[in-house]
Amino acid sequence: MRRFCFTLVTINLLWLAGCGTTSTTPMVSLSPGLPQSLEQGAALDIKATVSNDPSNKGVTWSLNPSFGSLSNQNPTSVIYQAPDTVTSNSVVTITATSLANSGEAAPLVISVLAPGQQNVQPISVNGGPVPSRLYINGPFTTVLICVSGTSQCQSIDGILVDTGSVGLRLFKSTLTVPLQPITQSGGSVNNCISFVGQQFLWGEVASADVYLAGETASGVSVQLIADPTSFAIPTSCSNGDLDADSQEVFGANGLLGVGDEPTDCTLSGANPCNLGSTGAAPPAYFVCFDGEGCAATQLPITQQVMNPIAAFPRDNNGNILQFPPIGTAMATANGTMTFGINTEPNNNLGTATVFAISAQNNFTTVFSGQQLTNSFIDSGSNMLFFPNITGLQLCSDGPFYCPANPPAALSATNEGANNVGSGPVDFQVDSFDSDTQDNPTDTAFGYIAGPNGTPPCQNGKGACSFDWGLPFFYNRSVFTAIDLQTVANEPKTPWWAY
Amino acid sequence: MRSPFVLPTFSAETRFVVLHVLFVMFALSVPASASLGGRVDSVEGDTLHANGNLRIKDAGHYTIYEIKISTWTTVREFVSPAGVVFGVAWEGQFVPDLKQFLGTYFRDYSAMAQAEKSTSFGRRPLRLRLPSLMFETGGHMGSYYGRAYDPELVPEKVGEQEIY
Repeated sequence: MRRFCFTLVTINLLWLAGCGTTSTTPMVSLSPGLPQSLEQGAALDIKATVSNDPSNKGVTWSLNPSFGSLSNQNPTSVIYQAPDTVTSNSVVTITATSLANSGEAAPLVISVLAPGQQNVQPISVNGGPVPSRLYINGPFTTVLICVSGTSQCQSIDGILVDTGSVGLRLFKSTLTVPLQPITQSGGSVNNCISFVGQQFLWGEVASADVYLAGETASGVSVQLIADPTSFAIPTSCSNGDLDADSQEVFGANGLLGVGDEPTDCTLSGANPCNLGSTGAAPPAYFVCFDGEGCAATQLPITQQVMNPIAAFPRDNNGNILQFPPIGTAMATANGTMTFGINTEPNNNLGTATVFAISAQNNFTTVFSGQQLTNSFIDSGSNMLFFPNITGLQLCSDGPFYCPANPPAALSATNEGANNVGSGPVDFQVDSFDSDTQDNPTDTAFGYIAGPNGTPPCQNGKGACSFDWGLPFFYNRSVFTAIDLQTVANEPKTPWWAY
Repeated sequence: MRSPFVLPTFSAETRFVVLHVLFVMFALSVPASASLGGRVDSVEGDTLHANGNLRIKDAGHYTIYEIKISTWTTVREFVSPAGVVFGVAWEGQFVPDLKQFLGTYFRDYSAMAQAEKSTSFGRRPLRLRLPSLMFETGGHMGSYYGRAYDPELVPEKVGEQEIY
């Protein structure tokens, strides 16, 4: 029978589900069955049930990593005790292994939370996960991702936190858990995103449960970045750009898009990718058939790659990124992403100014007399980028600013859409070459910048805009409020605040 | 052993029909147009105009053909008095099909963009310059913009900053 089954698998992988374990193998299941979160000092009762275990041998328990402890261990239950003091959120896995057959086991993943940190995700500017080359000013975090409705989970680090895009995107090559792909008419559904026309990410759409700190996004679509093997990537996706199909090209194990929208195709409340929307399907979602090719398609909003925050049952209206001051350069910079705005004691807007954003999710930056109407705040841009209206010197060896000493002390004014929010920003621009060469092992740089567009800027039209990248986030709390959600006592979303 | 369950399968004909219908839907709603360096075809332009997808604006020393691609992107073609497209600019929720709009310049653009972007990590706006192609792009998810023009084709009296 096994052999017959194997033959079928080679014919059609979809038959795999029918070729599972035989009826004599013990099966371990746990209660609770889904990932849990616990505060410091708390305890959790875990029960194991083993089917096909005629001599009722039960299970043996293990804890990894050894953070907290297991007590009252017996073949059917255990108590997990979280440490009395937890200073930063951690993830542990408790595994129950059948005593009758050590090949059968079931895991339970527990997020152990520091006090008041159930909505706080640590992030770190640390150079990223690729050993051969530092990722400067990249804010990285770790996500816990699980097969929907199960405790089959995996922690993946080196994920870039990006307020300039939406959706979780992971390199398929790093995945060890079998996430469920989304299909349409029997074809695979694939997602494409472009990064300002130079780099694109292609990959299948799959459903997953995403856990961040003590928050849960259940059954959200994510993109699994990988090149197809049995059809070509459509040129309307690739557009001649660089295929960021590996960590070595992209610089991260994935991307966590936590921008102003609930899905990667929503804009100003409209969603042209939605099934039934009028007009052509944009080059965002494609249905593909092996050996035949792909066509742009539309699909229900619930199947689109989603901002995990918007899918949380609470703290789902936005986020706050916070970093300490870092000056010229630091080896690493540790910050936080706090979920929700005005929903918990730790995420109040306080004295921050709200800047409304336009239907295209931009605001206006007035810089050196020019109205740059397509300007934006973006943690995924690793420098400030703005048009060279003031005549800064460019580096001889790259597309960045290299003003001679002293550094340039500059100022701009941000103006929200519909006159909601206005305020000046002072910023400094150092020589990119000097700062990076003087601090070759550092990964966080406060004063680096590059050009964007070609002045004169015709009052912000064309390729002129101010891109407030990661240096803007240092020494600030930056709020991103999500479109179609509400923030108590504040203007209609989406908006930014700082 | 349980008997393997059978998932719905689709015949090659079904797949062909699905793809074909989607391709046709896509093709019908993306207006055909001239590409950079090419000539504007007036018949094509008239058809687009009738569909409301095209606006033609006389800018004095040149003409702007503004093409709306469905709801999500607008492309502007800058056409010389001799009928040659000397510049293309776009803005919208998605990047338009650059192969279509850059035409014979697409290969040069692609080679330059790939070389440029593979030098360091991080997302940033792009600016490329060859003797016969200037290319700039920027923005973020949901709001992309860019422009490309051939400096050798830009008519006299037209400033390069007018192409946007």
